[in-house]
Amino acid sequence: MTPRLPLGEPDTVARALLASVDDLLNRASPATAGLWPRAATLLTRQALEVALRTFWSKRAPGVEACSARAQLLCLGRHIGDEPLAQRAHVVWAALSGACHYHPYDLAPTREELRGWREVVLEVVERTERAWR
Amino acid sequence: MVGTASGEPRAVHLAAQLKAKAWDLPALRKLADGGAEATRDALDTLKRLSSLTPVHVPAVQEAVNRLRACAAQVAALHGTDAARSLARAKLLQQALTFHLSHSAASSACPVCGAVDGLGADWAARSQQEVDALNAEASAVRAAHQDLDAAVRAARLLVRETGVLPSPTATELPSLRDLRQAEAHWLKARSLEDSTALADHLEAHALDFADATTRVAADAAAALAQREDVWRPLSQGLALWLPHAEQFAAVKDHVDQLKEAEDWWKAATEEIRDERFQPIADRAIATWRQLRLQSNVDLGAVELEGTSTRRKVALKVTVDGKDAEALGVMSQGELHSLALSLFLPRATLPDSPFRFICVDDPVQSMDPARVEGLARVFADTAKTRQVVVFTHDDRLTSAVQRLGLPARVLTVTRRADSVVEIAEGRDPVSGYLDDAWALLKTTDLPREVAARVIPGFCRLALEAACMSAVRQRRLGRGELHQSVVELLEEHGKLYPLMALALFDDDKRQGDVLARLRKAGGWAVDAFQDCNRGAHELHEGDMEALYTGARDLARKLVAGTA
Repeated sequence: MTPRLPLGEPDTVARALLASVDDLLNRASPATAGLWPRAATLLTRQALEVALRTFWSKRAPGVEACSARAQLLCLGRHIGDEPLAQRAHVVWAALSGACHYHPYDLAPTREELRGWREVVLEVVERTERAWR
Repeated sequence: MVGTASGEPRAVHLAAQLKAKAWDLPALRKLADGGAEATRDALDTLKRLSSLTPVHVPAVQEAVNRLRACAAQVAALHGTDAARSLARAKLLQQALTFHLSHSAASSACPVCGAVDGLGADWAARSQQEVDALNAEASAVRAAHQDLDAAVRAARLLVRETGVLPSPTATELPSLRDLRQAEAHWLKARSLEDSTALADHLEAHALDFADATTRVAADAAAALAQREDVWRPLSQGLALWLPHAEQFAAVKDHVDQLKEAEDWWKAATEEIRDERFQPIADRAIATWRQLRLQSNVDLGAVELEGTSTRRKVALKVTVDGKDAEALGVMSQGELHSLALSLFLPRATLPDSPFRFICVDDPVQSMDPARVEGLARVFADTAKTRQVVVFTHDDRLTSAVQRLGLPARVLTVTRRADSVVEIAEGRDPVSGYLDDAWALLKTTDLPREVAARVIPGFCRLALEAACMSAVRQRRLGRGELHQSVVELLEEHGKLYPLMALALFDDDKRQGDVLARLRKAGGWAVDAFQDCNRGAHELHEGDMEALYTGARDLARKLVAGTA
């Protein structure tokens, strides 16, 4: 039986995606053997992008249609935390790189993924506080 | 030689002896025992000088006084004609003798004929006169004899000090003075006059004695100084000599042993070189396989050094010129070189190991060299099992590209170092397989799977595009490195698709039109994959997968 995650509510999607990431990182499963690092990468990036879009749609509708890069550049001023925005930008760039195929790169390691997830969770929490 | 203290003759001699190529041990032994011939003269001279006795001044004074007294005596008797007195005494004596014999016959003088000339009275008077005259003559004679004796005695005092050494530049200053004083002193020998002699002796005795005393003192001081310099040296020499003598006794054996050792070393080296030659040859051959476009050539590999200081000498040339290996080679070239040296040794026939393990051999290697590396491993794998660990998949791609037989395993590490091992595959079918597995799994929430499947499909499409570009460009002889750079520069799906379809990254605008020719499904697959990597894809997941799979296959086959 497939457990159903509450992905319908936009304001909880980012958290739900991060929960899936945790599941991929922590629970060994034959179904995800070998592919979990890329899958976790894709989900982490989506969590970050969803969090950003949700934030803009509540705080400054329209910005969410801009590129992720543009959204990240504006983020610091709007949440009043420039260092966090910068870290988020770095993580987003790393995630984006890992979501594309590079001939000589292997998938990210569990440790890398955990680090990225931490930063994304911080962004999710901070943006939630800003629009709630 | 009478020199300064630092020029101590025995020390100088010892230094010369020790500097000689071969030690003259008997001569050194002599030196230790009290000085060699060469140095003894100088020391003897000093010793002789130090024991010089000055002329005895009171004795001289006494002789002078005696000379003067005798001369005064002679002077006091001056005017007395001793000869005449003696002649007269002799004559009178003869007359007296005549008178005694003939006085009975006549008392007349037989000379002048005076009557009673030789009477008894005359005889008595004459006898008295003869005695007086004789006494007078003997006083004069005695005075002269005394003076002669005094002169002789005085002359006896006029002697040389002894044999003074011939003058040299470095002699004692006092010796020069003595020589002068002695010359003055000896002038006395030519003086006949006793008064002059007395005056001369009196005038020069003190100077001469002083000069002699000074030389003796100076010589003694110089001797003492010499001894101070020499004593520690002689002690050292005495301690060292037995060792040197012992060494001399066994030197022949030592020489023989050294010769034997030299031979042994040369022979060992020869054998070692002979055994090493095949390794060196294979190392060079391996390097030539790995170097590709490198302008660094490996000329010879030689073993150098002995015992604990050995090294491998690499004769490296850059564009034909000699160079230092470590200085001119890049990190990747050094890795290749290390492998070239390692492989022949690790696969020696003597080695009990029939396999080799290599960890991360492709670090910093350019892609072209990775192909060489794959070939080298394939060669090695004909006789050995070759296990390679690597952190990127360049070697795997090279192995697949070259069609080399190899089993590729992908190792992923989960939490708590739980390791998953999967059969390796080419990236296109690999990512498609992943997407398929996600599509079919019941272990993952559908929504989660739906969010990642397009991402995997996009990875497969990108890999397919790159494969197409690589095949085309390498096929027409482009450099590996330039193809890699091109692909790195255009890492996203749109430009990659343009490169794959048109061999031109500028024609991204024509991509959709071209895909539409293949069919609407291809456009959908392309766009859904791109979009779905970012957000939830609401459409049919299986259709997306099938479209991506077919498009990827067309791209790889070059039929898109």
